[in-house]
Amino acid sequence: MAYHLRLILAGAVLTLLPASVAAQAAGAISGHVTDATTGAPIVGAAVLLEDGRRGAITDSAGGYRIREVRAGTYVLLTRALGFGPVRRDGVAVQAGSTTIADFRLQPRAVQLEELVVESADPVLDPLATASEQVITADDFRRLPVSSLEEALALSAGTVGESYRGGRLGQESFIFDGLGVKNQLDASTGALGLAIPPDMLTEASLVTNGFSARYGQAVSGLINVVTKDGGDSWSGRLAYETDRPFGDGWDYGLDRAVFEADGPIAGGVRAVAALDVSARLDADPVNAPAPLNELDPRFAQPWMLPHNSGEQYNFAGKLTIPFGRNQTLRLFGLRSIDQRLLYDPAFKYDSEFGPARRTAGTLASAHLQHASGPGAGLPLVADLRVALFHRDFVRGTLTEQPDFGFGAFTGSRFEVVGEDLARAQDAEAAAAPLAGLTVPGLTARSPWGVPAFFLGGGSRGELSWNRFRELRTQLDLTFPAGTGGDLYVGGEVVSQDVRTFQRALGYLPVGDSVPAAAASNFSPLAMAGYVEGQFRLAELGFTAGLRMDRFDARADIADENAGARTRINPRFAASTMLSAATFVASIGRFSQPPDYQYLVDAAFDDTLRTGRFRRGNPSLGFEDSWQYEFSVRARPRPGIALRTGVYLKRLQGLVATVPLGANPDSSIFGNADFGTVKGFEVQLEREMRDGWGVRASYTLQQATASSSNAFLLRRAIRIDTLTHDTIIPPRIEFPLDYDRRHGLVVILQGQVADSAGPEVAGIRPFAGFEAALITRVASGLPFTRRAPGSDTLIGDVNGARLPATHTFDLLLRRPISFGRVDAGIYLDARNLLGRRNVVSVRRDSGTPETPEDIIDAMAESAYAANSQAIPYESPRYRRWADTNQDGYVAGEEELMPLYEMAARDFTQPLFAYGEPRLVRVGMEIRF
Amino acid sequence: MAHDCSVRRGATAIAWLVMLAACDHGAPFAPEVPAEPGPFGPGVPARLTFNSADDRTASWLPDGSAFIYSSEELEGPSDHDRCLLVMPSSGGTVSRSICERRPGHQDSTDVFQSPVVSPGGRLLYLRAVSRIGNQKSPRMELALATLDAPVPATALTPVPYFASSGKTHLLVASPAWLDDEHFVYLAQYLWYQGSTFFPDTFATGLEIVHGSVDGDAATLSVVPSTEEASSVAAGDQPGTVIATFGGDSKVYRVDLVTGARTELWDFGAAGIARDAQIAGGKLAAIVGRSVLYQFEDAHQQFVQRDEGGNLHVVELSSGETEVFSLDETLFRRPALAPDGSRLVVEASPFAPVHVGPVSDYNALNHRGDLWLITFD
Repeated sequence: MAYHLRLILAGAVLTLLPASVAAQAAGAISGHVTDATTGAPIVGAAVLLEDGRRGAITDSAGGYRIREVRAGTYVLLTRALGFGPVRRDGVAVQAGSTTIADFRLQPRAVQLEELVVESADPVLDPLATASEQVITADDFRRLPVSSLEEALALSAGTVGESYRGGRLGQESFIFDGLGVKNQLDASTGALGLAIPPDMLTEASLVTNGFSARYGQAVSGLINVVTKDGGDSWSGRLAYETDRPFGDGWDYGLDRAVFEADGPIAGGVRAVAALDVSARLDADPVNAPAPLNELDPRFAQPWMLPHNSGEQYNFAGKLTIPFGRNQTLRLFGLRSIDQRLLYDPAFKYDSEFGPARRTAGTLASAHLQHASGPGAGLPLVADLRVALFHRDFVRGTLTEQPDFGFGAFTGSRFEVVGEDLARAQDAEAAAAPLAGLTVPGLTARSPWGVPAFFLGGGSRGELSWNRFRELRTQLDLTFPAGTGGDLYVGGEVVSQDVRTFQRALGYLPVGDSVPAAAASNFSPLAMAGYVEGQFRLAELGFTAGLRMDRFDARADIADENAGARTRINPRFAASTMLSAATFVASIGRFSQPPDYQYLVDAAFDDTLRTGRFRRGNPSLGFEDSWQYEFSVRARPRPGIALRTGVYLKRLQGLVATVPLGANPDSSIFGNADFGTVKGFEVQLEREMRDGWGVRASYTLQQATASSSNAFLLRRAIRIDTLTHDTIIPPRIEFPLDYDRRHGLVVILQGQVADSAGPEVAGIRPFAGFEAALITRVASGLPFTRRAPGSDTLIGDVNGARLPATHTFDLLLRRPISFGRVDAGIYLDARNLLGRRNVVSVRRDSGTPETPEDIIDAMAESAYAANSQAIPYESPRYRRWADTNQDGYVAGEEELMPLYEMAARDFTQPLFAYGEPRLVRVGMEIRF
Repeated sequence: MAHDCSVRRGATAIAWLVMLAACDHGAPFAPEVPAEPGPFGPGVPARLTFNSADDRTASWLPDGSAFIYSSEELEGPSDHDRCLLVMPSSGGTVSRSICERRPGHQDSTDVFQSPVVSPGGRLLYLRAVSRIGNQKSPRMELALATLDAPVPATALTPVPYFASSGKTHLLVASPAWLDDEHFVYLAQYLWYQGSTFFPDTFATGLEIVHGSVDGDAATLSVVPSTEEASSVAAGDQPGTVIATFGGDSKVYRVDLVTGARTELWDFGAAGIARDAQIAGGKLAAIVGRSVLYQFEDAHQQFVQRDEGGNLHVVELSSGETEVFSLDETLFRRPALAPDGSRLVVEASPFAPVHVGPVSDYNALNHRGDLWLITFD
């Protein structure tokens, strides 16, 4: 049959683009204008973006450069005296890269001939020295990903939200050039903002060599460029769900997306996007079904109760021309994430299970001045002012939410004691919190016995925190010839931190109940930078210097060390030789510590370990020196090869260190150091003959002297026999996200619109698209512990989980009707349903609980509650009353119940990666 | 034609979208709490409760679907709380447990007993709080709440209190709703005897009290001429209650305003009648056996010591009487279902009336269970 499968390159889908160091949110257009008849350069030609507000005048060599052009697709107009004007559509600009557009103009009297506009080869651009992996808005639609995080996880060197082996929180978000970070608890909490993918022009992950313009990160930048409204109204409406798939495939998912953009009036353009999703089981498990038929998971092993979640993300933007050379952009983003949190102890009385709500708001104004063509001193000035607000609360809901459509509740989760927490009234919180009751051992489990499973009350936890910052950022870009730029700028960030935590809130504060912890302080951070980027023939140089400064301004404690300052140099050099570009870079990167480590009672930790851990208001910067050497080559047209080695020296990372002689007393300190070294290679077959593929492999080793901030790092030990002080040699353990090997292969294809068999006037496969993602990764490290104790077996993170692999698939069939394009799609994650082990018990090294531990748990529970269960009790189980005397009594009848309860309670629900998740969707584009 | 075709496809797509949204999601597993549907064994009466603690003071919900009673909590903190339990009318598994779970009550013994529910769902019960291990003189109150939200409750009156009759009401027993706003109860005299560490609790009736609820408060008035009443229950005629009196074999209708008595039934030689109930044309009462009515110098009043007796159920229309008597068992405090079709009664091992101290008496002999009698 006369059709051919056109497989289109995934390179456009997710490309490792080397990036211009400074312009992470914008790109540039550069080129030459020549006389088409003589080839001579044309001096004084105007090259303009379509609106005429931005542009450049060619120099004596006919060269020009338009700086700080936001990522997107543009129309270029070129005019010169005595020559016919030239208009060129579809000039694509990607953030962090330079698009080359050369023009050959015909004398006015001569008929127009061929125009030449070509993009620079991003693979070989020597000015691009950073390692940047880009995903575009269209890619979000074409790949089986639903969020920015999922898309970035396809990048080389990522493990979830850890980048190049780093700890969580070592990254910073850049929204349209504006830095945004949850500086309070980034290492344990989310940013609180999730941008609707339809709002994006593109997003990228920069893992090294990022510009001196950006700070607050030592492992990577997540760079987000939002779209401006278009010249005509267009949009997209999509709905996806797993409703039709039934038991085992239906996790209660519903997601709706809406986006529209277009002109309003007076050149003002608007864009708005909404992305709402909900799932009855927001964290589905892939654990094997239990063997006991009486266990409710035996028949329904796929969905967990009290585990739903919903997300609401709204974004809007106005682009307002302001004068001849100014543009004002007003941007707003609001995200709300509400989750019921499955707790195995409350699985049979989930009314009292914990819940969480995170809400984030970002409101920003961006005024950009770009000198018009012919300006004496071409200048791009960006002034950004932004307010970021993040609010987090976790605890017991005042009432269980009612589900409306699917898992959508449409109501705000209210937590018991939230008003008290917001008022930070630790004194009032010394009394039991109204609305909390003491949990008891529930009778609602299938096993009846009073063991393991709770009900009738919650755990009594209440955690609240709020982070606010007002950021003012000024960036100036000056020309340094047609081949270079000079960047100068700085920022002032005023922050406000409030925290509150109360444990066992159903009890009054006393001997066994710690007092509520509250903190309130207002740090101030500042930064300034200067950076130059120059190109001499095939050589490119980038040199920058960044000053970071932060002051917790803590009236937190007397020992506050005051303002801390870092001067961070960054340098990169590159050259192009024989169709290959070589880049070497070195730089130091700093980030202030999470502010949660500055105050007592860090979130989670106190509850988890029961140990007091003192905050340290004198904590300083966490640093890394990064060295990288990379080669980018194009061995054949359409084939790109990128490879590089990197070394990252981490210093001053926050870890827990002993405080005094009390083994349970400790304090946070800048005590940890580590090393990340790795090798990355990516092979990419670009769009050609309708198919494409990209494969990336990462070999990496990430170590540190503590695997995370909460791990106690003992610099010295006391010999138990000799009582001598032992100073151990420098030992680095694998970091928690030390993934040694990672391979991602993305394959994408599309059937041509005119291809495929025709049936009754319809080509069923026309336009059909498919994308397949294969991931293979070695296991993450974990620490073995002796059964029933905290004693380590071997080194910290000395054991390894098994390897994992998954297949994700997206199939899409476009449909058009009238002037509207539509499509239906099927999105499947972990298509084969492979049961990947992602965690294990620290004592056994396996997901399952060993029999001897189950027996010990059962015996202990029986010893605590060995009383007979009478007939009328909700705990009575007739099938367990083997002698049918009206009592479940004695070891013979009770112990089997306790064993079953122990086995149920210890099911390894979250020891496996996500199960097969399938959704079907429909979209309409207008 | 091509345009028509694409429009048709579009319409199909939209229809498909609507169809998608119309499907129902599955649901997570929900625990199915096994519930036994009836008494463990056959027979009349049928034993309902098998726990080792004491089950007391049952009363029926107004719709007759279940009854509510008081029982000691045997698991969890060893604070000897007594909870209110709800059991279906046919017996079986307890369907609801109402305990004092509020913060600050883990270090005290919190006793809920004598619960009664009004037609509108109001719940009246006696609430007593004492230090764990303290066996005398708890802090008590007559509590008003609703069955939907039984805790916390409004205290209608502390107990003990000084009554308008000039007597001190030391204990409240046998509360009963007359309607949604009016109730009665038996005010009692309370004393302890026995050893310091194992005291036994005794009570005898003083007089009948009529209460009127107004919002969160109640007006209490003593019904005239009801001295030495030994039990009270809602009556079968407006403005009256059913009552028994110390040492008397008769059951009376008592006028709430005047206290005038009208004989309803006389059990005669069967013995002293008490714990009378009337519903559905039936009269139930405990009669005779382990009961003693005498003047006691120590208390300077007549006292009726009662360990239980036989259960008599009279069909008032015919006078036919059914007697439930077991050699080793004593019955107390029967509760007739609103339609008279069922009866729940406390049953405990036989014990003679003790006048002198018995150190382990409370621990051994006061354990009662609930039994169910179903009438044809």
